[in-house]
Amino acid sequence: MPTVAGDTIRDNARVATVVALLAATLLALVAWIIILSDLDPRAMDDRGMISILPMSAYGAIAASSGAFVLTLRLRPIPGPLVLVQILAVIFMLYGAPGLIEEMPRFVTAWLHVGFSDAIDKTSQLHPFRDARFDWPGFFVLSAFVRSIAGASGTIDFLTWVPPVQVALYVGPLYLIYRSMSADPRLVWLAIWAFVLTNWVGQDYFSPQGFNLLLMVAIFGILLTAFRSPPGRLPAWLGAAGGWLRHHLRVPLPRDVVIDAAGAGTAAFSLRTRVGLASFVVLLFGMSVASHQLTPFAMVGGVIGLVLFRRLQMSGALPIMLVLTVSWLLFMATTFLSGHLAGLLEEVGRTDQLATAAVGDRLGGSAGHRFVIQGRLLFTLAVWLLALIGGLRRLASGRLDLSMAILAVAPFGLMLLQSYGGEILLRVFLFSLPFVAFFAAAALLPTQRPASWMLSLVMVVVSVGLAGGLILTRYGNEKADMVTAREYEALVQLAALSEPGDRIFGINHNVPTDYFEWDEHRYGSVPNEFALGTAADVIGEIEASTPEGNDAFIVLSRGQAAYAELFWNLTEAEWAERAGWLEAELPIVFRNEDTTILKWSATPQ
Amino acid sequence: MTAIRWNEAGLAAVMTLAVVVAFAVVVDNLPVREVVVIAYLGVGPGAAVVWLARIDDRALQLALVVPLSLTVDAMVATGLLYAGIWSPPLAFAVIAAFTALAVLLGVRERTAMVPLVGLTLLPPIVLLMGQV
Repeated sequence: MPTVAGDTIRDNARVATVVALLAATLLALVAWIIILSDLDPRAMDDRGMISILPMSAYGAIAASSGAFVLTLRLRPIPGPLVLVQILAVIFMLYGAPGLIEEMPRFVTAWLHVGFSDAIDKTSQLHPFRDARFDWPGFFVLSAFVRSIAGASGTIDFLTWVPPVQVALYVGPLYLIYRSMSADPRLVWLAIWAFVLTNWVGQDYFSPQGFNLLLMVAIFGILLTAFRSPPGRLPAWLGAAGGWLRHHLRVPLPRDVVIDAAGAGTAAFSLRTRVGLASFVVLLFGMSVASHQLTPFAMVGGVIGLVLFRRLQMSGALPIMLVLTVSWLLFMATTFLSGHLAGLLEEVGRTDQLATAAVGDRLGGSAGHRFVIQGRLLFTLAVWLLALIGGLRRLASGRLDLSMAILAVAPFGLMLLQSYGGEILLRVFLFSLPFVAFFAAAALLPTQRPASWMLSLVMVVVSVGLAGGLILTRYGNEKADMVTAREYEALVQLAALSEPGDRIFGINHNVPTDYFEWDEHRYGSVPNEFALGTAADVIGEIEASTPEGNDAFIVLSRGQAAYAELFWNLTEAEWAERAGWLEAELPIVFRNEDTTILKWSATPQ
Repeated sequence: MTAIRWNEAGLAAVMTLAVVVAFAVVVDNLPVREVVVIAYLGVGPGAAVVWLARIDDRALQLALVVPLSLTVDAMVATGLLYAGIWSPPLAFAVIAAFTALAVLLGVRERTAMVPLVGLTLLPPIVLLMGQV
């Protein structure tokens, strides 16, 4: 029988352990910040961030992972501590560019700020200039919040969008995983796995990043409050399992439970269920109005859940279909009128898929090809880990059918669209919240206590995945980063140019369109620059610039890095071509990272 | 203190924040403006509707507050833009009114009614005065 003194000793030991693990987590975080703040981003080569990260940084990740894994050994698991540990690793991995680089990264994020500012400035949408305005919810939201907060024109916040956004995913992910497992270790480990494997980098200031939040929130509600109760395998499937067990000696259990109830599938009152159902419609409506692809991914998942009778609220499906199709037909008319034929042509054409998604991405410099191969291997490794996890769960008598459906359903998108060659990335993203559960289950399939060896394996796997994440996510960082000198040139460009002037880059990797997007037209001359001559570049600029307007040509460090990574154009080749242009056109601004040339119809 | 009272205390805080935001929007260059606006728009509307649905599951409450808040914000602002009215202060007033209504509809205890009503009425009044 436990004594009062014994309880007190155990309580004190637990408090001391929790404090020690918290201290270890915070120390790892501080060490990470100190190490990364000291790095020189200009030293990066064509393999990106991994090329400048010292071994001590991996030590910080190992310490953080060790503290997390040790926390999972405590019974009960201290929720606040494990949450702090997850938020800390999110900051470490997703806030890393903010610690190393001078300015917010990634030109598309800057462009989205340009869209947002244009809405606030012109009080209207611009679907004729960019199809993304046909799904304007995210841009209008950001225009509204920035305006009312008095933050229009600011850009610094972009740096912290990814860590904040990924932190916001944690709550809905917790709901999803909790609905599938009563083992809190598996729930937290699955969130950890999501954070360590989300390499596709769509969580920047973008509609898709926001829509992933909506998606996980919707499935969090559906799986918590509207999932069918646990069931048994249908007789024919049970018989098939028996045949495999007896004749092929496959180690399948005799008794398999479908979607064994997790901790969160409690019964709710009618009022709460009505409220939650209306939240699903509200959140999905927002998704339909703010992103062109995510609603289709969600509809695919819900179709799967309905087909396999894993959803009680089957009425969600027709509502989602009506909302999706209605928006496309009545609100996205500008896009649809210009692209319908092309969209229909792509349906079912999987032959284009491999070329667009993989083939086009295997070019570039040697370091960049290494990164691409790393991304393919990392993706396959995550999927393999998930497959092992699914099989281990099955071997223990649990078939997580709802999660499997939602993990597989996004692959159906590949039959519809190549999405400009990005569809594989998007499929990975949409399936990751569910794949991560199985990846974690590979290590913790049952509630059996973890051995010390298993804990060690979890730390090693965590460090390996974090290293893989840094390689794959930040592999283009030399091109994705923006320097203070490049920003300074943009400020000068805004002052030099008049409304209506054309702004040209050599490629799109320059955030020129952040400033006064509504006042200018933008273009690039990649083929003329890389394969042609100065005359070809100037000819294209002349042909594209309206009469009475001038044009500015921006040559920047970021574009040169992009050309190196994706076109295999060396620094010397870039400098030679830039020299040709500088000999023909006057320089109106120059600093260490950027040269701005001016073209006028009347030579000056 | 029961869970319900904690909820009401939280909502009173949300509505107080709404009042501060209204003042911050009206009084230009208030240093706390960015922080309070983002805090209110990121939490307020979602907290009110979650409370209205009487969700007693704390994890469900916390997980849904931000996505629902941003959804309400975006729907109001987008709706006004499509209606040809781009006015962030008006959009904020509509969101504050919607939040206030959801809070009032969800009140379960009479004692909480008086301070909450007071707090819900203040933001639109302040904004209207600012516009005048």
